[in-house]
Amino acid sequence: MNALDAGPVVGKTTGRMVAERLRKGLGAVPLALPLLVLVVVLALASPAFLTPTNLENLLVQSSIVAIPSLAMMMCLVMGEFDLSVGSVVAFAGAITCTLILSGVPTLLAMGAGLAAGAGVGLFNGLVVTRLKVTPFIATMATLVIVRGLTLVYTNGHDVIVADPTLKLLVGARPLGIPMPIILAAIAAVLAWWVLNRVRFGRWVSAIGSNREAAAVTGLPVDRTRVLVYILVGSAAALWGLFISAQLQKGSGLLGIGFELTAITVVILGGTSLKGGRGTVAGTILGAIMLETIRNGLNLLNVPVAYQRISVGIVLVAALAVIGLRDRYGRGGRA
Amino acid sequence: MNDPTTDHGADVAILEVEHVTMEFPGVRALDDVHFDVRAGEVHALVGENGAGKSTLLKVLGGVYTPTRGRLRLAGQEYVPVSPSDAIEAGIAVIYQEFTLFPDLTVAENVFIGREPISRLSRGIRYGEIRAVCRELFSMLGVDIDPDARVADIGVAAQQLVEIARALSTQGRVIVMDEPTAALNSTEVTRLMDVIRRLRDEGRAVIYVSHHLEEVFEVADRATVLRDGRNVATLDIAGTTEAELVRLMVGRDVESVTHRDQVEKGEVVLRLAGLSAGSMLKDVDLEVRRGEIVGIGGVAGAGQSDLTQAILGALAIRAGSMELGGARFAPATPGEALDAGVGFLHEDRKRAGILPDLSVQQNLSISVLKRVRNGLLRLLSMRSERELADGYMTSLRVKASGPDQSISELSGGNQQKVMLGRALAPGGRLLLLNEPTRGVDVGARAEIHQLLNRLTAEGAALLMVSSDLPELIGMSDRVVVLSQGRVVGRLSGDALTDENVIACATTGMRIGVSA
Repeated sequence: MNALDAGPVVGKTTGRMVAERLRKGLGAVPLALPLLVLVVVLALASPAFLTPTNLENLLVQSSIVAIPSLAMMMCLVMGEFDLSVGSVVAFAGAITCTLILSGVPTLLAMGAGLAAGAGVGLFNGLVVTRLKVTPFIATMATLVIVRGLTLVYTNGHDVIVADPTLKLLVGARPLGIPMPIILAAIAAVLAWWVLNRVRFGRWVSAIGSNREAAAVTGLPVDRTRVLVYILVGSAAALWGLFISAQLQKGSGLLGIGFELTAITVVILGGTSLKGGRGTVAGTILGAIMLETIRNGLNLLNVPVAYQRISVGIVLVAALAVIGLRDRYGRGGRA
Repeated sequence: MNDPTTDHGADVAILEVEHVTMEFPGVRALDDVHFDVRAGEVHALVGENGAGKSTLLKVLGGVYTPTRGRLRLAGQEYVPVSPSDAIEAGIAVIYQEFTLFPDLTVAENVFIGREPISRLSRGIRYGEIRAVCRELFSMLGVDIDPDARVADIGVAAQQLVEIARALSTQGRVIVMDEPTAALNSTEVTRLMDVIRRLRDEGRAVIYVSHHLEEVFEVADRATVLRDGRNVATLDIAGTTEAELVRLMVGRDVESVTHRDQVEKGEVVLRLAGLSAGSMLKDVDLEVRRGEIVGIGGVAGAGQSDLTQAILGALAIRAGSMELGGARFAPATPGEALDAGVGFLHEDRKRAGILPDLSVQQNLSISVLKRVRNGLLRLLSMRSERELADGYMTSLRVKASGPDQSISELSGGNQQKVMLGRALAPGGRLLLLNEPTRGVDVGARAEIHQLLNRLTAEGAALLMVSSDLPELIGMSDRVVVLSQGRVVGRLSGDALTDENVIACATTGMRIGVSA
């Protein structure tokens, strides 16, 4: 194209490069505006919305959703996704609570819960890479299997604990900041780092961008894929620990549909289902967006069923906007 | 600038392109393009990658609506807003990227969207579409089963199915975008015959090709595009290849492939009785330092299996490999890479570019361990930038900068980036598949100069090419494969077009004991 053939500009920071960087860096901004509008509307609609307690509660909930969503984003950037998340949430929580009840030190029990999640991720990864089952089918099967396992393990009962140490996972306030917010901030920094500064992250983008090219380029494609599934499994298990810490129980019925929550957050954040690209900031904003909708609708006493409908509508609207942007915002070329 | 619209009075313009401008955000892909195409002529459209040919074809085919300007078809204003409008108006476009449905049969693909329906059962009249397909294929002189699944037939056959589909629309204007890219020389000859027949029937054929020899063989006139503008429309009879190239590039280019004399050193790669995959059998081969060994043969004769086997991507059944005198048996492409083997895949789009990543990230992907530093082994943006700058300068990649998305580059520049990626592992041995496929004349000449330079610096090159002038012109020796076996070893005076074709197509043996 004439614009590109204007001349080789190599190695110098030009205005265009700066503009390019800004555009990439602010990839999440399209979501910031609707979020701002939503906040203003809710603030006007409900006096309870803009209170410190409610805002803190909203951010805590967003943080709990954001961490597994960041892992899910990695998976989507790789061009795949993991549907087994909701069952892992229940599985990890149930294991941790059962172990606590049987006298295992809380931290050890939490470690076991996380390890169980990592194990499920490893299983997913091996099924997908070794048995060549497509991720959709493989992780859907795992979703069902692990849900069943959890119900068997708990005999279908709630495993109720009263454990102050476990409670600290959501209740502790180092430096006055709630623990989930601190953990989400750490997770966001780590995710950004991995995606932009660590070789592994680059491999994930490369695989999501063109898996065949990644393979002939000599990248360890299968090893990378397995690691990403382990990451998602572990993050899902952490989600389960958050839930069990909040509710002080484990149950085979927790976490139903959470995989879709995580995928919704990632897509709201502007990550393409086709893989190759994703932003950390977008995912965080996606989590805040989703939780703001839920929080607002709760304050307005909208029944849960309607809340689900509105989340669905927001998701479709977000995808439509992304689709329009892709079609008209970036022209095709000769 | 020559006036491109010279009407000879007697000739009837069937398609008139009037001052068409096509703008995309930030890019003007077509800038005031105007020319006409006459009924009963073959009109070539030539230009470098990124000159706007594909955009123009998409305007003609109703995929894009031009920002300004208009089209006239047989004197009537022609305003297609969708591809089906174009087909209905009688313009059939054969795109470079295949638009076939792999899971449908050949006949279903040819008639997709225009299926004749039985009045009685409302079902597709399969008998009819099969019969028409057979007729079309016999005209094309090929034997393709109308009931075969498209996924099961080869790339060349798929290209012919695309052509058959365009012919079956009975269009007044048939547009072909690089139709010969996947065809062997016999199929190309037949296609040329078909194009002449279409012309003699009074249809207009718009023919887009990088192969100027084809343009001179079949076209009556040629319109040259450069940077989105038409610089000239010429009678082919009154021009020369050099003139066309000069107009395309805007400067004089040495379009003739030239291989420098380079001193050969010790053997870098040695294959002894190598059998691999389902095809490759008993291949003996040596490549020396400073040498380019070409691999020829008809499409699918085992060329890509050979490079895949050396890369460690294809299971080896028998025989052995040596790299630099030591036993070499990579289990994965990663191991081959670590041993300093660079690889260029023949299909840039399918297995080459990482479309979502930048030029810099595409260059560095295979050698990320070289750009890590510090205690945490993090990627250093600065050393990655230095690596990218180095290759972008030495390969003369035209881009706005290392951070530009590779998807925004022209084919020739994407190919240079892919070559850079192949060089990055160290370049002791380079396995190059189709180094200039889909690349314009200017970039092609630059890539050939680069190959000369690499061998002068001591690299050993194994080059698979289906482009005969390139294979003959750039190789020091050529090994011809047929059905996975070596049938010819050609060098010196024996290295001619005729000998390569004879070995490849008739299985005649030259320089190989029977």
